[in-house]
Amino acid sequence: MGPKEDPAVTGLKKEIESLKQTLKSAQDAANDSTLENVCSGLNEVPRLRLQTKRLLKGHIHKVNSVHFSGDSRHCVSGSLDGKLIIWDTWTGNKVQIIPLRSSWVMTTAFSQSGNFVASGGMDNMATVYDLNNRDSSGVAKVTRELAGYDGFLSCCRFVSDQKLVTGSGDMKICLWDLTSGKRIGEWFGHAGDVVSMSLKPDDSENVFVTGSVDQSAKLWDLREKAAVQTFWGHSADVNSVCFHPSSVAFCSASEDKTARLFDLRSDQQVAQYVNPGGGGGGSVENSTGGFTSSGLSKSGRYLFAGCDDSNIHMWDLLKGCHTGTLGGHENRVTSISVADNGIALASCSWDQNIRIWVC
Amino acid sequence: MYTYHRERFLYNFNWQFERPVQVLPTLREMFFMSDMREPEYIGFMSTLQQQRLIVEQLRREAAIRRINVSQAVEEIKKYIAEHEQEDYLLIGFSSQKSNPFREKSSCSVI
Repeated sequence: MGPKEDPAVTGLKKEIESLKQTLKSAQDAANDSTLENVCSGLNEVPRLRLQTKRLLKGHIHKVNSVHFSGDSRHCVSGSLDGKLIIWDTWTGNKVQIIPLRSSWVMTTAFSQSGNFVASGGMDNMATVYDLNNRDSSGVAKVTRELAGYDGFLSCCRFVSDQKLVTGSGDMKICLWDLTSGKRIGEWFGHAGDVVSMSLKPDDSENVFVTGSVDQSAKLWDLREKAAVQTFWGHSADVNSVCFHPSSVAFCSASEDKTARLFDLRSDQQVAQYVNPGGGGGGSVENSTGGFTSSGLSKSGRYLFAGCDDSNIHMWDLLKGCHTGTLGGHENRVTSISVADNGIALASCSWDQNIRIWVC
Repeated sequence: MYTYHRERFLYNFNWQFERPVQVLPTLREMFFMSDMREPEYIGFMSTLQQQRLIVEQLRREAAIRRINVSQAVEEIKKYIAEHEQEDYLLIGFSSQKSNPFREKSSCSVI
């Protein structure tokens, strides 16, 4: 028998349970239809025939992260060999190679302007490099080393050239001012590592969604002190989130071998996507592997998810059907990034390569 | 819970077995938020302050205005239909000249 519980604590526990019930019933009340029903009149899209137009070789260890720049031409990739490489995807050339102080890089981000890249990982720091400002040996200079995390840096995004928002293994989200190098905000709320984040297309200065190991995705507004909304549904780590270009929904990809579409205004999951799997059964049990990353095409019709089985799977978002697989990588696909202009999809993998897929 | 990340870093660049040190979050931080499914966390939460914060957060989340799923999906459908023509991954290129990834021909005008 443990110590006797404080009655105030019991009272609060009851209130928590009843609030959860209220939330659930409010969401169920809004759940008046399914995606299948609303989209039943739509035609299926033609099968996408994406091919690897560029195979970017250069890393000598697993590549953990890739991110396109705002110009849709350059991308940055970070690998366990301790290098960040800036690629020109149109020619396949390496524009810059940045050696990192710690080789345990888990995430990279390119600023929208293309002027800065950020990286971080097991060194528990976020480092920002200025691509236009190189030192005497031609390597981009470090403009900021942002320390103060109690856990590894698992994701980061440039809100603007002056601000960086990060999610880390200590379950918090931090906003840094890059001109002063100081932390201007800290948000708690997740109960596990914050592994992925995505900025809202129509309000990228303030709103973003994060995915976490606590199986939930949360919507945050930098002007608010706590999470605005929480989305449940996944039964394992949410490895990646990606906002829909319409800004009213986002997709998520998870270790539980499903990708889901969550809608912001009805505050719930509206669709689930699984692999057909080896047995063609379309069930989670038959599915080949967990998803590590996700992306959406420019119109938002196609959902891409990188998988542990070395493929990138594609679904028609509205019809819910699995429309194809992009094979080519020889090991787990760790990260994918869709260019802003919608022309290309970049994917990186443990097989040390980055592939650019174009129609 | 942390297996995905732990697995990725067992070997360092020189193929030496190396387990990176990972600092665990403090107890205070770990139990800030309760979870919608049955809590491993709720069992630990005993401080009034943490629970009050959770109650406040849940109240805020319960109070937001929601629209129906059917209306929400209609709007997503509408956006997609409006932007389908700009989606080059979907429709491809009508003229290869506008595709920056096309194979460049070996001939060029001098």
